[in-house]
Amino acid sequence: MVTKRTEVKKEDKWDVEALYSSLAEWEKEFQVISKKGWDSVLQYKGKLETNLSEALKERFALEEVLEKLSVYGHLRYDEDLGNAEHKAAYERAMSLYFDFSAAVSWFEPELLQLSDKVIEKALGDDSLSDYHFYLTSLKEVKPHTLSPKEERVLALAAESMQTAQRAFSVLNNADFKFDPAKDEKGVEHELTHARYSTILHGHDRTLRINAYENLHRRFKEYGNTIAQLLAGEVNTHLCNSRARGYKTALDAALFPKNIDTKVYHQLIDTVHKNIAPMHKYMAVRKKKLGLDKLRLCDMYVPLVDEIDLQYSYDDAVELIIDSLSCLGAEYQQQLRKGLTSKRWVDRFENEGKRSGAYSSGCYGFMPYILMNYQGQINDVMTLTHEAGHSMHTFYAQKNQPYPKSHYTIFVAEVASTFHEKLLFQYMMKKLGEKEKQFLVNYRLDSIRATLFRQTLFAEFELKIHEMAESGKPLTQGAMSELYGELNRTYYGPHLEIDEYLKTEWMRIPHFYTNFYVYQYATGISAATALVERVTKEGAKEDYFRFISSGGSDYPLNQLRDAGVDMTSPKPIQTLINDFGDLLNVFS
Amino acid sequence: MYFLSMILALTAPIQRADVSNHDKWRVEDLYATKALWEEEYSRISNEGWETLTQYKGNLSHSLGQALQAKFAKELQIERLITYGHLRYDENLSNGENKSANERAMGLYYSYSEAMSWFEPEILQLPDQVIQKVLQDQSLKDYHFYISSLMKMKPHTLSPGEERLLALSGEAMETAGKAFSILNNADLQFPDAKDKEGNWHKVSHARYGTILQGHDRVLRQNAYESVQGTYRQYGNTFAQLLSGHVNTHIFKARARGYPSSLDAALYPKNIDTKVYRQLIQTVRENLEPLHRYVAMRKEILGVEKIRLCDFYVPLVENVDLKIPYDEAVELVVNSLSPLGKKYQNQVRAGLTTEGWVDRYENIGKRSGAYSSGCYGSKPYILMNYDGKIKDMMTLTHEAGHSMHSFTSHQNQPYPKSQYTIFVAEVASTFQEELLFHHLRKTMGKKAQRFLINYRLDAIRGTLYRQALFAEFELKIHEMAEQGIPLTETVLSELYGELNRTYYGPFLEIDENLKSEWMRIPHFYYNFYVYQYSTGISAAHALVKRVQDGHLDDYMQFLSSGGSDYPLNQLQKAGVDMRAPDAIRSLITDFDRLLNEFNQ
Repeated sequence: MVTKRTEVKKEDKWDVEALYSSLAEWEKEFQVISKKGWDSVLQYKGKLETNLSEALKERFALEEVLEKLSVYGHLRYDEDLGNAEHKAAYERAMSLYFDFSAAVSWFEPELLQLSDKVIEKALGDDSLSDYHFYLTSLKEVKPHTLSPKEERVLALAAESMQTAQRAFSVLNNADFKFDPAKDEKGVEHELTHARYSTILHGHDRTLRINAYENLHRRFKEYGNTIAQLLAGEVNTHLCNSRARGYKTALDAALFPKNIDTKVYHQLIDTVHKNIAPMHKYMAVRKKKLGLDKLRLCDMYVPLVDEIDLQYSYDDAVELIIDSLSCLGAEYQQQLRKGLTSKRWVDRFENEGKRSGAYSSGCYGFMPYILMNYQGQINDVMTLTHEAGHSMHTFYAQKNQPYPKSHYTIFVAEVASTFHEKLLFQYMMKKLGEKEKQFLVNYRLDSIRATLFRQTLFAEFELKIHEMAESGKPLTQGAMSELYGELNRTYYGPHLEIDEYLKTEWMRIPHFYTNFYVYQYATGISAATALVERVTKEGAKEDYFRFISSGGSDYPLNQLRDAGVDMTSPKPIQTLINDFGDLLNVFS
Repeated sequence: MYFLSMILALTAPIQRADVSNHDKWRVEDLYATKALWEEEYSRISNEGWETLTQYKGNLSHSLGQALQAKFAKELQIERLITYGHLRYDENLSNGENKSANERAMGLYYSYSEAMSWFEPEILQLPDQVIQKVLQDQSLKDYHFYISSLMKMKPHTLSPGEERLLALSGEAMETAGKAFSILNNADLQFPDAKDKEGNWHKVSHARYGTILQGHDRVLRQNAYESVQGTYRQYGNTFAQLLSGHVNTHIFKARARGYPSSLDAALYPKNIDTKVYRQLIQTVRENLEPLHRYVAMRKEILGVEKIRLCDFYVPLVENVDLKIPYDEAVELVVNSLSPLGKKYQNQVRAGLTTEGWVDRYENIGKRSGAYSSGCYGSKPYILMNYDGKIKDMMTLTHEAGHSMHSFTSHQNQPYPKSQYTIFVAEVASTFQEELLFHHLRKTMGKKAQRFLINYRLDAIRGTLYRQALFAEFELKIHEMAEQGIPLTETVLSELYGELNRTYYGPFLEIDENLKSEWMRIPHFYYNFYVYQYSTGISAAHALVKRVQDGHLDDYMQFLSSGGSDYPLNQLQKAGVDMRAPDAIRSLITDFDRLLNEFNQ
């Protein structure tokens, strides 16, 4: 029996009251903000040249309070998705936020039209130092900013440009229904996206194959449509990059955060040059599963038996804290309090609670962690992963003013995977042989999924953009062939490239987010390099500088300052070497 | 044995090679041989577009020459395309002709792309350059083209903004392309059972046939199979249609039109009042349509009419087999109000002059159309089978052809192409005349069939398309106000409109509410209302001609594409801004319905 939300003990719940003591208090602030409207910012429309500092202050102040309103809304909603009151609060906060975004959509375009002199003056004004990085980043994209009239056309086109992504999303999430899959005893299992993942982790190969085929068959049936939608999405990227005078769609995507396209190409090159361990992993997997050839549906089933280690929540916290000793007592103390007495964490499953795990929060308040903790090793891993995010946020907020506090996606997975790696190393020292095998398997699979698989995706994404840029039509046939070819290269001769595998690209929602996935691969590589820096080179302060810098600099600079150069192949090579060593241990 | 194969030859389609010349269109009048087409194709593609692109950036002093060169080239390409598609349609499995068709289309796309700068550059020219051209009598063939283009000037943006609109063009096509491929290639319907328990395959084409059949069990099962499948993908269809509507709103706002409707109608100078007038007039006159549904319900003997009961004929097709030559005579006779000269031309065209490709053969495109290009004869593709409806189709296509023929005779190439708004006028005009003629000449048994045929034509062309037009307008208006076009919103609206238009005897079930999902025309841009206005204008013109204003009609046909369509109709005595033409057609519908019910 799953507990009802109302029956969850206080110490197991996150301290959401720190944001608002009650929904009524939230409502009060919501009313105040929505009645006040956006005049405090709107009054400066057309007057940014003379009122830049006031406008910036008002704008960020509003954003900050809107963020708080929405975070409270979504935390409460996620506690119990069936609570209509909280759902409404969440939706109202989001729509208030959208309303604000629409109302101030003129803000950045107007800023971008200001003369260099005005911007330089603001950048020289120390009383505006909180906004300097924001202004510098904007200045950076100025060469790709068009005239106000042209920007108006692009803004008007924005909604139409979302059709491909929206249509894919409803087709994939709402309309697609899959035929049930039979297991080895002939029993039928209902098939949904969520269940598919569970089935792939199971040991019944008949069921895995049937689920795999049933799922991909449906996608293949609608292959022409999905190819058209993905081609349409790519077209929007081409349109945007050409309109703004970027060389390629990749340049257009990476330039705003000042990420050298070399980082992207380097990632792909390095993985290509170091693909042998991946092929060897496949040979090991094949052998352990006792199969002639692996199919895509054989990639997720654990290669070792489940171990029956159970960790109470408090034991897990202690393990995590101990694993972080290289970061010093203060860091450990802070995190222990966060995970326990300060109630950052909503610990256990209850009826209606959102599944999975995340770290969230808003400026000036504690970071919040949603867990569905069940005591397995992977739950402990998840907890330290989320705690990594939370500590990153905590240090960023402690050291940066609001406008410089949000870190970019490029570094978002660094602190979390950093934590994971430390816990892995710690437990490897403490556990017995059988448990170690389990842990090594876990780590190998997570490197495979985060580094190799995401790089494959990144290469697919780059190639289809390049094809479109050279005028080649992105048909279903062309994309499936490319996808099959890439899988052959990455996974080697032991993977069967069947017709279903070739269609897997059709179900990956990330391809509708502009050049996003490579950041998973670079993130885990940077984290590994940072662990080396901290544990072997004693560069603890570098790590603190990194997490403390929040969003006050470009991500590549932040990592370079911490001693990690993402334009070099080294971090990726190191991670792959790690993977190779673990594989030797494992086999 | 010999005798038996003779009979088969009469009924089964024959090979293209075995069709006698007499029954084929004279496509060799375009190019005497395929080799000559190849020669011309190679000449034009080798020459490239430099003779045209040399004017890029120089239009301010060479607009006249550029116009002449552009239209001359366009005509050459049009001729290549016409030959290619006619030969291809003779036998869709002929690889050589298929390739010719595709190559000709490819040439056209290449030409369009090479010339995409042309109209934008004209629109940026200083006024005095334009005025000079408009006063130059040696360029009068291009005056209407130039003045229509100038009308677009208030909605033309700076070169920088136009560049962005052009860049966004391909991305804006995603919704339409994804709908088309989902609808035509990916969506598969489950088989449907008939009343005897036999299974029938269901496809778009077969669904049409099934709905005309008398097995209601099969009709209902096919209806469920088709619409049920659409409903399963309802969120996706809603997202695609909404995405398409968004592109119209984008273009309208970018170019400064008050609404998407204005943006769509403005280029052909069509008053939005025409659109609203149509909807309002039809709404004020729905009672006859309600009675029609009641009558259909009575005759079919069902409690309530469902959407799948709309296409089964209420009267059996009269057992007639009219030979082609007899059909031509009937058609020609029906056209007597238009005078001997017109009649003789139609007769010659449909017989000795080789306009028509008459009968089905293996691989030939199904259906019927009228085509051709400037300087060629009009060509008509038929699959004539001797039924009354085939004869109706023949006169319909002949109407298109006579419109083109007369236009080409009287207008220079740049003024010869009539707009979609009037495209269905001459064709439905001839249909109505044939209907009147057959009513007078055919026996009693055929009368009910004829009336049923005409009632269904008016229902399908006037009422149904007006309903579509209202749906299209409403969804654009909602999106313009920021109301999200979800599946529920669209289906509720569609159900509500059907309730209003068809009245209490139509069952508004879930399948009906989702019919909007399968209508490809919603991915055009305010297109369907022209079916309703076309049949109404044609009806008004029949009356004008019957009242002795033959010259008005001839002038209308002759004017081709030399004026805006509303002006052309106005000059022929039909004001489409007023409700009269639509009202008059509805009065006719009402009268025929009463006659049918007696």
